[in-house]
Amino acid sequence: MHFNRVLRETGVVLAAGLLYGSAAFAQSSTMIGTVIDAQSRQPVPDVVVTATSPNLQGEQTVVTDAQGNYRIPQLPPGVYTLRFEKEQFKPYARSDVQLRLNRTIRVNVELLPESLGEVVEIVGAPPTIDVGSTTTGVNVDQEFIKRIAVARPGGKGGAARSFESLAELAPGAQNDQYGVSINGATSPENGYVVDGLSTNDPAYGVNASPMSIEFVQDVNIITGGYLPEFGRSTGGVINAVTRSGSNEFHGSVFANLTPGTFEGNRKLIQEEGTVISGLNELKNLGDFGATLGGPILKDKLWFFAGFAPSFTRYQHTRTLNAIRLNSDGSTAINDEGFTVVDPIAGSDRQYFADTRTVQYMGKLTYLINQDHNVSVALNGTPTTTGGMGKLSINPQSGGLPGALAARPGDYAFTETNANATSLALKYAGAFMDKKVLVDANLGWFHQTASTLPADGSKLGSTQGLAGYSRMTYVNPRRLTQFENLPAGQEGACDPLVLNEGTPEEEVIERCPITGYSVGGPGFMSDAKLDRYQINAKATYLLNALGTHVLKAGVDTEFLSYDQTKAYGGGVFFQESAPYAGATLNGAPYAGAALADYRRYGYQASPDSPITQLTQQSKTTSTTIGGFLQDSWSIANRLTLNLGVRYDVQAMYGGDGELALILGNQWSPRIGAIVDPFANGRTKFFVNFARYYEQVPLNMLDRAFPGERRYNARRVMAEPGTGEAGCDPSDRTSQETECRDPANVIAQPESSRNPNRLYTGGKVENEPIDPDISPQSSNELVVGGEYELIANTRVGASYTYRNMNMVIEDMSRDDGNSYFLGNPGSGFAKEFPKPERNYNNVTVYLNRTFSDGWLAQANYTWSKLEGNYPGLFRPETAQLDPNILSDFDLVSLLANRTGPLPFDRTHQIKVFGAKEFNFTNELSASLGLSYRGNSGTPINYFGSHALYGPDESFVLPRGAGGRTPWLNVIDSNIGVNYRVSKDSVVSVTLDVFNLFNFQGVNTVDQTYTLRNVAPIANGKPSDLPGNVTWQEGEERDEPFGTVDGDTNPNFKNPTSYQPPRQMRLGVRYTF
Amino acid sequence: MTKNILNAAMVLVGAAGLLTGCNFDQPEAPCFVQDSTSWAAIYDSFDTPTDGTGACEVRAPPAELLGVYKFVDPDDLSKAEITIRPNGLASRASRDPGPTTDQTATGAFDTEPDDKGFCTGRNFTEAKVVAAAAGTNPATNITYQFSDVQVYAAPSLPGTQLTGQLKYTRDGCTSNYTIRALWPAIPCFPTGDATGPAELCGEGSTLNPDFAAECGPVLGTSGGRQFSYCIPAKAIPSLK
Repeated sequence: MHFNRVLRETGVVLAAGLLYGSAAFAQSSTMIGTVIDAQSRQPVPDVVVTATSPNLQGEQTVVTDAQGNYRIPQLPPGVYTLRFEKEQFKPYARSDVQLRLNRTIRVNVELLPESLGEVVEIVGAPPTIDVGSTTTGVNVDQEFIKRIAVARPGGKGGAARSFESLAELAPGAQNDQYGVSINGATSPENGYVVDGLSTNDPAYGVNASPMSIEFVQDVNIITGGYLPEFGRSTGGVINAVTRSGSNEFHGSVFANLTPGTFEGNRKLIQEEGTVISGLNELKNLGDFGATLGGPILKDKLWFFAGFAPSFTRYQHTRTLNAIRLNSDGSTAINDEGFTVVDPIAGSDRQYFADTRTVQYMGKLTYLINQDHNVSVALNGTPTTTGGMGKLSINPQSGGLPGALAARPGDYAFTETNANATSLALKYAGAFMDKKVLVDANLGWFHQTASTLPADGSKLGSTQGLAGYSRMTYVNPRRLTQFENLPAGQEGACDPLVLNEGTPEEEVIERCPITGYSVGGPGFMSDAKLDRYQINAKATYLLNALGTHVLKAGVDTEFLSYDQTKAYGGGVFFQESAPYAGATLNGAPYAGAALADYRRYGYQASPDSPITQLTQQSKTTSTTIGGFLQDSWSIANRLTLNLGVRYDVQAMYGGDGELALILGNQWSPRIGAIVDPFANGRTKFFVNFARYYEQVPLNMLDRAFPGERRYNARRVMAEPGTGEAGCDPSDRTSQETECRDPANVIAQPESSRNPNRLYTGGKVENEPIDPDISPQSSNELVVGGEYELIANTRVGASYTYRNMNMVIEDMSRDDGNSYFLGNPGSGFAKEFPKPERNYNNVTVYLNRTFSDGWLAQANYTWSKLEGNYPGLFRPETAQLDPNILSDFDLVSLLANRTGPLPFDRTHQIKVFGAKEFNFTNELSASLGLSYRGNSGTPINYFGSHALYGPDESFVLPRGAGGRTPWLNVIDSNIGVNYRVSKDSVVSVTLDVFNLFNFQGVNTVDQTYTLRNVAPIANGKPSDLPGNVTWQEGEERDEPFGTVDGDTNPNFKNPTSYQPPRQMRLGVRYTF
Repeated sequence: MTKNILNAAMVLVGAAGLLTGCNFDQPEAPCFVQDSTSWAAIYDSFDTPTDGTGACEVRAPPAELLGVYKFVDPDDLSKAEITIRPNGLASRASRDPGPTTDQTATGAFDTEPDDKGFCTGRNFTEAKVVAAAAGTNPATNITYQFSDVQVYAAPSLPGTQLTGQLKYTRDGCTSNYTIRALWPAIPCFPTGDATGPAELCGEGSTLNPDFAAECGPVLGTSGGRQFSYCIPAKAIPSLK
């Protein structure tokens, strides 16, 4: 399905999110191991093993079993000390054991009998290989965040330094328009989890909570190979755990600033000159705040609280230009082939585009006893952008305002608010000597998203901005019809008149404008989204032919999306043309006309419209699922992970009726891990998994039922002439002539439509294929890892992913009506089967920070091809999960298979940091990162009559080659001064894009704006001669012979890398 | 401990059984109608025209385009209307000084399909045109009386085929027909001018591939070729 892009540009703010069901996300880790007698090499039973850590309330004690094995589960991530004690043995302690989030590590120990005389030094460092799982990905902790430049300023959530930006560090991950793409999937397909609670937007799937990395203890970016505890996502999982407090008071106060004046020079994009242009510049961006954690009761009740406001300010300069004409009337063209324009002096207007966010977090952790603990956490991220006289930054993508082609005073008057609050209760308990473990989570995620008039007028009101309609003039007009020029420049837009007074007189405009808007706010909305989640998981340890860790879980999720929408003044007008053969009050009419382009309302019988000033709908979804898994370890060498997950999703439309039910989501996960030396230092693994998508609510909101809209065409009065008819550029006329039925144009009686004056107004649910299957994808991962030296691992992995069924909407009549199904099967078998095949080979080296340095390097070779991009359409940034326009137009289905937009053959990421200690008090750290990416494919796009530009693949995907390599080097310098035993003052400088590389990021892929058909299996040599027209769009002159047929800007850069930016930070930690 | 394992396993198996035993059929489709000005209808004649006293000559056109629309009242979902505006009346409507609604037939429409998957429109108003003479066309008086219009509403092809009865009267001469219609109306070229199966209601024509459709009787000439529209090949539902 396709909804006109005007809606997007008028600032639709709907946090989109793939409903991500979090089934009791593992928020803890486990330590296992074997204790043997160093002399006799026999296992030692009944050894008391004690684990302690500043992050752990109290201590955890277990005892080794008859085989000398011990297991300590449900541990929060942190740095641990393990103590091993038994009578007749020398006590042994191992410290600095780094336990990451959601990991199982093995620490084997040899105890020396007391009777042994000599002292034998056992030197060994604790291992870091996670022997319990087949997951691929990276873990990011505070040490990494402090020493490497992360959270690039700008972009989505840039000033807030959101945890989501860390996902880009994983091998095979890259930024996309709405977040991070992992393993070839799109960002709405990922699962975002904070403290066990999903933070996906229930309507669109993207991350709705830009939680600051200041509040985060550990972030796991899981790219694949995960067990059935994690489900309902077909991308990766970004799993974060917030900080928890400890037995001592610790906290920090910090501030960061990225000033716009220190930006490197931006390379200017050469583009076609236009009469109205806009330029964005960063003024500044920054955040500040404080965190504090500590004990309320030592080892019993801890608290953690944080507060971090952040702000972004860009300046937008709007300039009016006049086209430079040669004396013969032709347009002056520069060396690059673009139209030359001259700025009109004094016409600059400046506006700020601001975003303000306040983040807060509070958490209490209570240890009931050694076996049971609970925690309660609350966090929120209210964000505001826009306001009276201010422009908005898109909260979903971080996109900045484009050129303001509207009358001054008729823009910069809406405020967009987005807020995600979550409240989570967690319980973890152990029974029967830690043989049975129970984890339960209960959570409420509440999100509001609105775009409302900044004067406070309510949706549906006839007063104020909410009662003021918007109008877009489509045909070319002279700029001065709407705007005054600055003093002294009044003649700048005067046209050039050739052959004046003769029959060949020609008037050539210097300031033509098209697509110019006047009036009030267009689309406005107010939405409330909720997620209630309850899940529980039980783990049972069984010794039978090895060790079994049996897990079973239940997971339920209730979602709702309640949205009220309205257009300013109840209608959005657009210049149009009368119907063919139209009449007005009985007489033929062929004059100027405008259409009620968007108006909410319905008709219960022909020509009897009922207007609705607002339209409200509430859609809900319930997902219930469960899983069973067994992690079976044999002889400490082989672990088999066998599991299955089951989900069913029921979706209810705006009328409260069941719209769609997706059952039988059987999701097997089978994997094996081999530790050939049984010492936790090596592993080989293989894993097969099937993942299912949880369908976001936006699809229901838009199609079940669809929006009730009706249409009319009216006589248009040219603005400023005072002639009869509707003139929306004048508010009084909006309220009088534009509502007068005598100005409504009628369709000719020869039309077979029963309506003469008002069309549309009826809506039914979209038909669904009764055999529809849920959307899912398969994955196979194979790899190995080896611990080279202490804390340093090397590894390699191969990942393969493909799609099974895909849910999409399709049309058999080129966009007049749609149905929902699985393309390529069932009802829709003649449509092409959606494919997305991903192959990835990664080699990596990973050293966590210890002994003063850290290093991480990875290289990924990958291939992403098919005809289905995912849950948003990268070519046009259309974010409508499962109802994209890709399968809508039968006439444009050809040429869609090939390398997909996020296909990058090579990706290299290298990170390194070293700490220098000068004196006891003074130390410094230096971090460097390098990222190199090969380019993405270039397509040849054409337009479609109804859907607009970039919808037709004139040549097969990728026929235009690739964009060039991009390199970026970032650096981080920090100086730390220890003021007292526990407090440190640090000053940091992050320089992003140190050498100001201005590589080409995106290029213009619009080959033509004409409505041309795809050339099946065509090649560039087929252009322009073999280009044909879409049916109904035929033109006498062959393609390529008329000026403007091909886009002169094709393959030219449309954006460069962000320039060098510096972030200064100051922090006091105690 | 064994007892505990057995208990746990039983609970889980029971829960799984409960879930898999659930029926996951999609909800029943309502009485859906594809609103369009271009339904292609064929009229099957089953009696000889009569003018009340004896036989007469005038018949309905063999096939034509219909505008079929459904209206619902969101405040009272039990009320639905179906309207039909045939080309034979609409093309002459400008010659009739009366209201434009005269040329549209309106009937009450079911809200749920019956056992066979049909939704029926009943009690249609009479649609007529009283056309004055214009140019070479003489004055004429045409009436369409639709009855028992059944739209096929199965989810596999919702609201895209219909059948019904038509009593056609022109200048006093009445005849009765069975209507078979489908949507969308795709032009085709029946007299040997077609350039491939796409122009003969076959592959590539964008008709639902499950439809059994054929090219109807010649209705006119376009671009030098005699054309018609794809119409259902069998009784409704007309499927392969």
